[in-house]
Amino acid sequence: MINQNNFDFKSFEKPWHGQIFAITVSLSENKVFEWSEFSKALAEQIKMDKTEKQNGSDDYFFSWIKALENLIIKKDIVDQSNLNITKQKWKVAFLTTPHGHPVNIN
Amino acid sequence: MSDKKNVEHNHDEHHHHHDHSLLPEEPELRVKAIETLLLNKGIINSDTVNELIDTYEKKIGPRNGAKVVAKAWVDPEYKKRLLENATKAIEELSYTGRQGEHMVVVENTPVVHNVVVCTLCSCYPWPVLGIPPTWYKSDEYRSRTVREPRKVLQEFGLELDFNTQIKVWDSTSEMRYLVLPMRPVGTEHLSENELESLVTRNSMIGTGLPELPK
Repeated sequence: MINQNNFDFKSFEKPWHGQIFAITVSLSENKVFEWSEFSKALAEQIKMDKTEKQNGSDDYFFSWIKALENLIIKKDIVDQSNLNITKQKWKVAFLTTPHGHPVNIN
Repeated sequence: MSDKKNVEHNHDEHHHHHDHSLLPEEPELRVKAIETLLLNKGIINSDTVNELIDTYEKKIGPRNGAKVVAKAWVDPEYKKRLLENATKAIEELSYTGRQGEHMVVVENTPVVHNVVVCTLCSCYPWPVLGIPPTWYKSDEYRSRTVREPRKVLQEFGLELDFNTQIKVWDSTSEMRYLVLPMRPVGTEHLSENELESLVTRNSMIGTGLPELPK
């Protein structure tokens, strides 16, 4: 049964869905890659991550993140270890910044 | 509720201090990492990113498509142009840009009902419909619509006459579809604006019909 009721009028259910979307559109507009190149990568990633429960929300955008990461690594814009290190920095920042304060790294 | 994941802590890592900021989910941290690196390299710009989000949250959505449909209902010449060259006809209403190239409009008739899917990912005509709804991106919709469209449409509450042929259109990044639904009967007296308000997003994907006038 297809679940149709969820947040039907919201473009992005969570802020990070909108973030990754906008970052990707921005990169394609800056000619880092063609949109068709990204959509092919996304389709392949979705296929790889495929589960019957894939509901088109978090899991869909998680596939999107992985597709984008791989594409920008392939284009030599970032590398995997930099991504990991930066992610870890954010994690530490969230765990050490007092609640209510803006969380920043660098 | 997936939001609960937000408050799952790995207690080994932070020694039970509970006054820190809420740790976001793994994908959110990965998005932050990507964004930070690209910003630092000057490949993206945060104003542009924020503006894009704002545009697709507030400015571009299915109301654009509804205007196209309502115009086609009242203006036979426009409808002709729309069916002949959708990209150009939609451009007349200034709905252009990203994912608006290579548009095809498919017309519902008493004997044919059209429904749009993207089996591979989620190709969708952004300028006229905005960001696709969650169900459009779900594995179920993507895989079942081609296999058993009648059953899928029933789940959307759409019971079509058994003699109505269902045509499924699979979108790609080179071809995006918009369904032109049938104008509801009993709407002869309505203005273009009033008609526009009857057009729903699902009716332009093919998983619904326009609303009936109140």
